[in-house]
Amino acid sequence: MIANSVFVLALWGALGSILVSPKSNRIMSFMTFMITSVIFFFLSKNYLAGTNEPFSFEWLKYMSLQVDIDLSSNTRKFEQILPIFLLSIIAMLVAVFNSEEMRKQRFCCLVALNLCVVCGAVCAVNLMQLLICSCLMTVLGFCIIDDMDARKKYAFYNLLADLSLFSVCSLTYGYIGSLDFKSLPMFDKLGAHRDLVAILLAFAISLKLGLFMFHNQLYDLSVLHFNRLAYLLFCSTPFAGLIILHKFYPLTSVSAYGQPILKTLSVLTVCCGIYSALFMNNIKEKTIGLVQILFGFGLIQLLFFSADFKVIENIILFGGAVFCLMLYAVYYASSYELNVSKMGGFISGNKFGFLLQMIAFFALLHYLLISFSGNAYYVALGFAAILTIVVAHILRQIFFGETHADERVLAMLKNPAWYLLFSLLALGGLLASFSYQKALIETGAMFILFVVCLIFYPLRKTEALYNSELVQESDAFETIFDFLIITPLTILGRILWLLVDFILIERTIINSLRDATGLMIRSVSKLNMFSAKLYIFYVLASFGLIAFLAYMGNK
Amino acid sequence: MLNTFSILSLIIAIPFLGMLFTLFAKEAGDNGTRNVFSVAVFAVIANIVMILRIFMLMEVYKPGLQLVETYNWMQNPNIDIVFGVDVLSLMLLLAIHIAFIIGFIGVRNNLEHQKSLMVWSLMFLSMITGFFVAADIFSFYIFFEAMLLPLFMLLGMFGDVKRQEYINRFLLYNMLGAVIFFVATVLLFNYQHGMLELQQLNNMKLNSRLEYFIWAAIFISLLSRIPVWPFHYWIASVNSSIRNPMIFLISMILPLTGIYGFVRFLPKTLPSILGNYILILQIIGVVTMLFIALIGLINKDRQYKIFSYITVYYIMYMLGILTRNEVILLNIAFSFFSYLIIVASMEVFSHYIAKEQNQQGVLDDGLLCAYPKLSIIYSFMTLSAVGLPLSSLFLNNFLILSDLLAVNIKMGIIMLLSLVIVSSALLKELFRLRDAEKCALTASGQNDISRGIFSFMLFICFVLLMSFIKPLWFVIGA
Repeated sequence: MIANSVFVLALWGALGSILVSPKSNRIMSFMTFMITSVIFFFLSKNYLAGTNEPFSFEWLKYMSLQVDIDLSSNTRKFEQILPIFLLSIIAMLVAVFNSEEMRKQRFCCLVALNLCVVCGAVCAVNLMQLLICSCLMTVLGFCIIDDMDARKKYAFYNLLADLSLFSVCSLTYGYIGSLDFKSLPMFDKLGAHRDLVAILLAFAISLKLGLFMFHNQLYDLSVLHFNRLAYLLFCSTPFAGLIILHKFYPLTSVSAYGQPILKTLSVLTVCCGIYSALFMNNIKEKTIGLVQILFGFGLIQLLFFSADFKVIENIILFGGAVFCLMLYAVYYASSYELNVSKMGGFISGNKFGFLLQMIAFFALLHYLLISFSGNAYYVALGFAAILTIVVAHILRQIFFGETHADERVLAMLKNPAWYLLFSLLALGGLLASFSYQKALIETGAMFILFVVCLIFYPLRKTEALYNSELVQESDAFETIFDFLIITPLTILGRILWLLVDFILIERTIINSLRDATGLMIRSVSKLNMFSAKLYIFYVLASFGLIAFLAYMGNK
Repeated sequence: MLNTFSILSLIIAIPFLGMLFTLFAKEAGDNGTRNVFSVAVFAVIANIVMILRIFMLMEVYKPGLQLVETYNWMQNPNIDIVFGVDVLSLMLLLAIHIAFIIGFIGVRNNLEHQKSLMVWSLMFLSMITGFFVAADIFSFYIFFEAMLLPLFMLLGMFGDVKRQEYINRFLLYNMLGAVIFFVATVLLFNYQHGMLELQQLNNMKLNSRLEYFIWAAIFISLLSRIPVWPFHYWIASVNSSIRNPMIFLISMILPLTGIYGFVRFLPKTLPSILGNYILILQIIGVVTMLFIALIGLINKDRQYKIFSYITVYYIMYMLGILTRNEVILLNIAFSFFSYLIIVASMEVFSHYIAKEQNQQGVLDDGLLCAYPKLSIIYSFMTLSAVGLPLSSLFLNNFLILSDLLAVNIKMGIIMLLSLVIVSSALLKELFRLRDAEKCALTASGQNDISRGIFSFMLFICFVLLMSFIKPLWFVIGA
């Protein structure tokens, strides 16, 4: 079933991407949406029926390398693929009906193609299939980003990530001689340079996921259309990062460095996300901050408590989608106002939207609270409290208090578009359906905390930071990387160029050779000049040489 | 099979005959005739058809040279000319021919000395074809040196104001290599009391003093063609001074002859004397890679960036060949196929960008935004070049690198670092060219590449994509 879906989507997506026409923009995008929805329906049906369908295609058979493309269907894979399908359908729905999205057909077809690649990554049973899917996600993400500035960091970071992963795969394959994921634990016995492998892997995962230090690539995406941003935040390369972590998990522990690096970065990512969600003025950057918190949390649960990957995937994907839709709804309702400092008091024209946002958010919290046990549960509880405070703080600024909005924004204030509300309701309903009556007390406590935060607004002083240029504009890590990596490399390049190419080769070797040749020519010319004195000199010298040789011979 | 005019001789003869026809063809005139161009392109296409036919005739995965042809040239001294091919030489030949078509497209509107350009280019093609099918040391040497003549003439005709200086360097380095190689050939000839097939070199036993000298001579002469330090300097000077894509292409192909020489000369089991040479070569190789990659990163000249990319990859292939792993050799062949086509396309379109920049009198920042078709092709080529899975570079480089990392981790890491740096330099350049905010032109598409060229380049992209899926996709039953 997965294989069939991939073929249909790949064919449709490829054709749709090539045959782009302004006339068919909406129709083609709508058809892509419908086709994906139908496929989603059949996939869900197969999932519920517990279908197991093997599909393996022998792609390469070199002497040294056998690569099979695996697209087998089973319950586990359906569980991983279906959330991405659902979110892709939502992204397509928004693209079809939103007038701000100009290139609907292209976007929907790229999403369809990305779905194929995601299926390939999830179903991968060997390093090569995953590596190719990861690289293809980078290419498709690059195409989905329709802003050149946003593309720069994205492309560089993902290129580095892919090359790191490439190196990890090369090294692993070099030692264990197999590309199969099942053989990865053998690296612990047969492999060498474990530190290097673990560090490179941690580096690749951090870059793909946009963890702390490498998060500025995600913030550069804030210039994109909200829908594209949302899609890229969790359905594109960050999702590839998650899959890589999941599949390469045995390699993270082959060295003493792999896991500590990732653990540290995930904790710092949560802090960074909280910082952005609270202090950034741009609503899109706040969204990215919230998604970062989820990523950090997911990684903490995976790395510290070996949580179930399916649960983490659901939290990150659905949670990310809920936050994106919540803030996108606000952005839409306020006629595309970007700055939260220019909002406030929106509840008057947006009651229904607020209610739906609350439902979706608490459904997410509820799902989060019922998904863990033991120590992981207490972490989840603390995390839920942090998330409640942060979200309450943001919603308080948007919906309550004195308004700072322009008259135009206030006059045009409306309920969000039906497709946003419908999507929010669908996601909220879905999350709520995972559990019925468990953890109701904890969820209730969170609700009280939420209300308290709304009423007392404890973090009100952070509003002052909206005017701070240092907080809003600075990109500390870009400056650091520039200072530590780019500038030294540039200086080194210049020194080598001047010192080696010009001074050593040009001025010393080539000029010396040229001068030596000139000197030789001049000397020979002089020796061959017609002159009686020279003639006598040569004759005498010859006699001298003969005499010397005769003497040496006798001796 | 003695003195039989056969298919390998034919693929050397076709470009040569094409050259003769071109010589007598009418120059392009005001009435739009393009006889010279058409004849040259026809000759190359005809040869591509023949090469594809050879693929059908041979068993592609069988080791050793196939379709061997032997011609007795002289009785006393006894000199035989032997030709033969394997999948490596054929893949390289096919890629070179496709690169030539791309190069011809790049100069089709360049009417100044067009006939000379086509004539010398076809001569070079004929010589390099001979070089790749040469199976004995004598014909190998002849073609190795003969291909320098066309490049020498082209440099003299099309070089920039400093061409005299560059020709001096070109001669200095290549004459050095030629003389040393000649001495090695003569010594081998005398030692073996007759001509020597390249395949026999694997089993050759030499006395230690001679061995020491011969291998040093062969290494230096082959290295004189490869842009490793300090030989990189003449190639860098020549490459960055040429503003004609066809000649850049030819000078870019020249290092391939040095690399290929290593494939043919290095024995399967290395004599102990070679161990030291190879270690030195590995050290020089990786240092050069890093060195050139760094210069490519800081250099603002796009041509130099492409040159640095070419150099890093050539050295990587050279180091791969030095491992003497048969499977790696096959992967290098597949990787080279895409590499040559990608580099040729990038150079041709980079030249087109420079030409448009001069004609429009604007900076090239964001220029691609005004040329959508060109932008698609250039972006595809850059993304393929940086190693994304769009061509056979991806998979085959994976295997080459995994082998090199296993052989020597430090060398592998420096190599990876160099690859990252050159890839970043190319990406940075792409972003600069596609920066819409800095674009001084409107996207009218008026001066964009023609629909015909765009279609042809889309076909080339298709060929590259297919090479990713299956390197020998065009060979039935491979």
